[in-house]
Amino acid sequence: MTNIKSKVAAVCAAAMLVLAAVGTAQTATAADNKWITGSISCYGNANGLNIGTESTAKGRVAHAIGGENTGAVFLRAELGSTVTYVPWGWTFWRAKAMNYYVFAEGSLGKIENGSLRRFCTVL
Amino acid sequence: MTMKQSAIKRSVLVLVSVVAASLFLSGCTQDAPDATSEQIDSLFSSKEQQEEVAACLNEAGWDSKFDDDTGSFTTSVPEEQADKYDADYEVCAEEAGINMSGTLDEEQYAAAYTWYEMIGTCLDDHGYSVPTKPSYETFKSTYETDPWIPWIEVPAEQMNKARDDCPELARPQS
Repeated sequence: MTNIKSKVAAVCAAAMLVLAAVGTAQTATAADNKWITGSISCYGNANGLNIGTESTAKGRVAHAIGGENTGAVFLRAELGSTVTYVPWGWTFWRAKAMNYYVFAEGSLGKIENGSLRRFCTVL
Repeated sequence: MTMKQSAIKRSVLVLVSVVAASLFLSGCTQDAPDATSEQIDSLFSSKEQQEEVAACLNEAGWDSKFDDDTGSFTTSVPEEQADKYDADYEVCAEEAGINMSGTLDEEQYAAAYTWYEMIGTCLDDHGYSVPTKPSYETFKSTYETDPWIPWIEVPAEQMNKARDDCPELARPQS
C-alpha cells in the first residue's frame, strides 16, 4: 500500500467567554489508496472541548488520534466499511482542554476516495 | 377578448405544453428503483462483522474494544506497530467476510440514492443547506467523479447535531 501523507493544519480556538462553537473544518482528501493525515490543535477553556473527526469516505474507514497525553500511541477507531460514501464521525475526547494532534486515515482500498474534516466544539 | 387576455391565454398554453412535454420525457428516463432497507443495509459492513473483526484482533494480541452502540471499535496502536496492526486487520476483515471494494452495481446505486434522498429531505426539513438533488441517471454517472453528497455542506462541528436531527445520517446498525 502506498502511504502518501499530506499535512493540513486545522486550528480552532476557544476563548473563555466564547459560547458558540468555533473552529475551522478544513478538509483533506484522499484518493486511490492514499492516507489522509493532518493535525489539529484545540485550545479550550475550563469547560473543555469536544474533539473529533468527520469524514465522507468509502471503503475501510478508520479515524485515529494521538496526543501529548498518549505519546506515540494512537487510538484508532475502526468505523466500518462501505461501498458508498458515508458520513462517518467520531468524537475522541469530550470535556478536555488540552492540545492534541489528530491523524486520521480514511479509505483504504483500490478505488476509494474520501475527505476528512476535524472539529472542535466548545462546551 | 382583449390583447392582454390573449397574451395570458397563449402563455398558459405554452406552459401547459412545456409541462406535458416534461412529463412525457420523464417517462423516457430511468427512475430510481425503490430500495428496501435490507438493500441499504447491504452497503455497509454489519455490526456483527465489526464485532468479529474486533474479537479477531483481540486474539491477535490487540486490545480492541467493541462499542455495541455504534458498531465501531477502538484499538490503541503504538506508532511503530501500525504496519503490523494493519496487516492483522486485513486478515481479520477477510475472515469476517468484509469485502467492500469494487464499483457499485445497479442495486447498490439505487440503495445509495434512496438513502441519500432520505438524508437530504431530513436535512432540508431541519434547515440545513443541501445541494440540489440530481436525477438518478446523473447521480450514477457522476458518483465516482463528483458525487452528490447531501450532507456535504453541513459544517463538521454541526454533524453531531445533524445526526440528532436526522438519524438517517447514521449508518444502519443491522
